[in-house]
Amino acid sequence: MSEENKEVLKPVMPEDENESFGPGVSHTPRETWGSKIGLILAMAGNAVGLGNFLRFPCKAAANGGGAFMIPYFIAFVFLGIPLMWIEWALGRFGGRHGHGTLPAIFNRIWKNPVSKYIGALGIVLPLLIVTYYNYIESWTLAYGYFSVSGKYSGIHERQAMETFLEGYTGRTKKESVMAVPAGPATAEISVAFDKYYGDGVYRMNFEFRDANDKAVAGASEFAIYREPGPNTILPSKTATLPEQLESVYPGPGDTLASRPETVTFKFRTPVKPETAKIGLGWGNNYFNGYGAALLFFVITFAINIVVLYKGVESGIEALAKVAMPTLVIFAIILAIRVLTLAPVKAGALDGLGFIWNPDLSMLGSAGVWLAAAGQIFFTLSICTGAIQTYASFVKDSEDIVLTGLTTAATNEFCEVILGGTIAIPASVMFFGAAETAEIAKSGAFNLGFSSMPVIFQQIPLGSVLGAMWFGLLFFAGITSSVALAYPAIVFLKDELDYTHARAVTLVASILFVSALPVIFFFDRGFLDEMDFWAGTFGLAMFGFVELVFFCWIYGMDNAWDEMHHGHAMKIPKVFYYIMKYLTPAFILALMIIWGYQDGIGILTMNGVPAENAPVLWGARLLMAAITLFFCYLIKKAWDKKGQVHA
Amino acid sequence: MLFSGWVFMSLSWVLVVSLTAYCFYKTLQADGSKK
Repeated sequence: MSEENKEVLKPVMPEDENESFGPGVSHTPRETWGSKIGLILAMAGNAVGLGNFLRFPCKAAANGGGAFMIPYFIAFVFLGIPLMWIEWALGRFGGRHGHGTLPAIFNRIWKNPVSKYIGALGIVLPLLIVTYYNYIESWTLAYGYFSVSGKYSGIHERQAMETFLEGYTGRTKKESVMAVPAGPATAEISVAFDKYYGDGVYRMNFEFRDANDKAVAGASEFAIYREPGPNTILPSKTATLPEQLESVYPGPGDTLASRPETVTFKFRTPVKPETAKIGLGWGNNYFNGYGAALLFFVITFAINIVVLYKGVESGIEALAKVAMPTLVIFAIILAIRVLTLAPVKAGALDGLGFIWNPDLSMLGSAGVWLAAAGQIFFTLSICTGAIQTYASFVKDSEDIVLTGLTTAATNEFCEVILGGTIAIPASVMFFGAAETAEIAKSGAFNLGFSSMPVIFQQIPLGSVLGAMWFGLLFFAGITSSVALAYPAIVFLKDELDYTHARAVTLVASILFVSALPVIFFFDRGFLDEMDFWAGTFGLAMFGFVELVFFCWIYGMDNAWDEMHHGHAMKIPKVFYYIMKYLTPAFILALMIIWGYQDGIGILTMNGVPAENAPVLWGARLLMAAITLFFCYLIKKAWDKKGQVHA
Repeated sequence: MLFSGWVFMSLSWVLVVSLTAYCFYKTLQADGSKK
């Protein structure tokens, strides 16, 4: 780094004690970014996450294709960019006085004792999000390893790959019911076998009623093994079969080399199809409990903590300088490979057409506009409190307008160009348009963790490409997770004078303990509960609050001047009005719609199985406990060092 | 891929690449002028 650059980026010190705010000012030099490019990459790394490569293509494909880009870019201009500038400005504003988190920043803007507790959202929300984000991030590391080690090689069907993920997340048993079409009493019933979960032993329980309403019930086992190995578990040949049953296919103890098309029952006397109950049980052969998930979570968690422990320049910035270019290179290689693949069910242009052919009639749907606004909101990682903390390490005279826009543009490059060219086009080429539409609707995880591994197995060097795919997701994830964990660390250092190591240790302890229920109760809705309140509704609420604080309480004129302090590019004047009126209205609408559409049902646990209710209450209790703990720490900090200056 | 798909993809790509290139160009220019 040049001497001039070092001067520009020298450590930020409180300028004047009388100008301080919050619970006093630490005189310890604050951390700082090592270089401008490091700052941009770290901020872009915060924004670029799993959603760029998984959520965006699913949303675009399901909401009008190319036409989706119209509301998308409108939301980018009216919601994304204004909030990005506002958060950078809030962060630098706080950093000027030695504070990198929202309690002190809000307290400076509104000298009311309540303001600092409202600012707690800027610490608690990212901490809650990273609690479960680390777990999802650990899947990418695990799947990268599985790709290279061949753990999922031989699984060529999406449904089986979904079961693989279920096994990985600890769900080792699979139970389902096979549907029997209604019809007149018959001596032969064939049921489509659409429950292939993977190779292994299937246990079937069945019950029919004959013309006299007498039960005809039994149980048997069969197995499917495409590539039997030395540890293959064979099905039992012993079965409980009723006298009225002449035969069943697959029969007891049969081992098939491929999935059967149908399961067929032949009876000596007719039975009534509408009385049929056929249950299918399958033991997940891929994993045995939570061991693998815990192992990869601990490794991922440890990597995160090492980065956090090394701090801004040696940890976060150094990571971003490696992770971001690597991520982009991996994505470009994958995009080129996808576009040059030989057609299977469709060609590369059909794949691109699926995501880009516009359905302009969709623009009349409010849902499409909401989906576009939501995508911009999540993809830029705004309203999490992380941008403010990163921006607090920017020198007072440093530009934030151009730098903020650069990070937003970098995120869009990774999303629109790279994210739109890999997963969905590949899925169309291998599964066809109709199945890809189902995949896109079923969610981003299915696309990333079920469809893509199946695709990679069918192309040369698939294990390497698979490792690159999950590697890029891992890099996208970790650059975001360290950003989300950092506000809590900075709060402890700035406001309670913790040493860096002590602050990292406390935050790591909270994160680790909180992540355990996320892992063990994943299939019972613990993560989803946290994701809605902290990662969706909470963010919109926090975004609205910070807009009110900055643009209305601090005042739009002051906010405008603050943003332009040291500017390298002037913001067009129209954004003055956009930020003051349009962006708050936009985000308030998001908050109300999300709260109305999903929040009421989630709050009242509508449709939640009774056995899951205690788990969801546990998630709420955890969120409340972490919030109260940080409110207590805020009180402690202010009590210790005195209230805000009048 | 339909012609309209090409139009939407091209416009989106051009918009994003131009914005990204412009931002990095201006950033480098601003850094250069400081030196």
